[in-house]
Amino acid sequence: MNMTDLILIISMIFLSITIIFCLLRAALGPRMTDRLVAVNIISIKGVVLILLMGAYLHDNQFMDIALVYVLLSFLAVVCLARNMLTKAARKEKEETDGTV
Amino acid sequence: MELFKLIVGSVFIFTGLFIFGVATIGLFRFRYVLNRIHVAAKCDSLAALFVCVGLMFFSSSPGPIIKLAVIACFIWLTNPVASHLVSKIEVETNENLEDECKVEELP
Amino acid sequence: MPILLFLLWLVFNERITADVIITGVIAVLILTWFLSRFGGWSLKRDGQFAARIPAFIGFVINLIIEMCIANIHMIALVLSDKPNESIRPAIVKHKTPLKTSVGRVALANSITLTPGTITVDVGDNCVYVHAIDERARKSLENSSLENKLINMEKGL
Repeated sequence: MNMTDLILIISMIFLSITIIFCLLRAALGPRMTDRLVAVNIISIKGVVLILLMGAYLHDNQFMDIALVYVLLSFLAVVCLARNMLTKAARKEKEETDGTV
Repeated sequence: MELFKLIVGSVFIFTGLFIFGVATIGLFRFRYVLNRIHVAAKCDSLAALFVCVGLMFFSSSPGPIIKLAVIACFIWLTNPVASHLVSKIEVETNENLEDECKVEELP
Repeated sequence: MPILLFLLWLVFNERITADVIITGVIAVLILTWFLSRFGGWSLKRDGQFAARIPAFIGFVINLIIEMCIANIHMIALVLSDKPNESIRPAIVKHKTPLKTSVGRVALANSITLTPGTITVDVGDNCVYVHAIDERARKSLENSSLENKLINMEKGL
C-alpha cells in the first residue's frame, strides 16, 4: 500500500463521516430550507467523493459520472426551489383573496 | 518530483477536507437558515475547488486534469444559483424574518 | 461559442479520432443554428465577449483571492466561542450602476460566491444582499470587483 492510496482512503472516510452529519441536519432541520441546504451540501460532497474514488481506483470513467452528477444535483435543487416558490405564491394569493 | 507532487496534492486535499469539516460544524452551530447558508454553501465551493486542484497533482495524463477543471467550473457556476434560490425561498416564506435578522429594505 | 462547444466535446471524449470530430462538427453546427434561432446568438456578440476574456481572467483571479480572505474570516467565525451572539445579520440594499443584465447577473453571482454575503433578489438598479456581519457589509461597499465589472461593461 503506497502513500497516495492511504491519503485517498483517509480523505474518503473523513468525507463520509461529514456526509452522515449533514444527513442528520437534513433529518432534524426545523424548516424546509434547512433540509434543502443540507441536500445541496450532500450533493457537492458526493461529487468530491466520486472524484476521490476515481483517483483511488485509477478509473477515468468516474470523472464523467461526477460531471453528470454536478448538473443533475443542481437541477434537483432548482426544481425543488421552483416548486416551493410557486406553492408559496399560490398560498399567498389564496389568503389575500379570502380576506377580500 | 513524485514526492513533491504527492506533498502538494495532499496539502490541497487536506485543506479542502478541513473546510468541508468546518462547513459541517457550522451547519450545527448557527441557529437560523440564512446564516447556515453562508457557512455551508460558500465554504463548500472553495473546498471543492481545493480538492479538485489537489487531485490534479495526483493524475498524470492531461485528459483528467482538464475534466477536473471543467467540473470545478460547473460547481462554481451552479452553486451560487442554488444558494440564491434557497435564500429567496427563505425570505419569501418565513413569517418571523424580523427576529432573525435586521431587515433594512425588502423588494 | 461554437469553438468553445467543440473544445468541450473533445474534452468529454478524451481522444481525437475521425468519427469523434465528424460527430462533433455536426452537433456543433446544429447547436449553433439553434442558438442563433432561439437564443439570440450572433457573431458580433461573440466578438464583444471574446474581447473581454483577458479582463475576465483578471476578474476571476481577483475573485478567488477575495474568496480565500473572506473564507478565513468565516472559518474563524464558525470556530469562535459564541457564533450566534457575535454575528449581526442584515438585509441591505446595494445600489449598482450596472446596466446590462449580464453584468448584473455576474455581480450577483460573485457576491453570492464571496463568503459572508448572499444575493436575495436583483432589482432594476440595485441588488438586495444578506450580509452576515459588519465586515461583510464593508467589503461589499468598497469592493474592487464591481469596478472591474463596470469597466468590462463599457461598449457592450
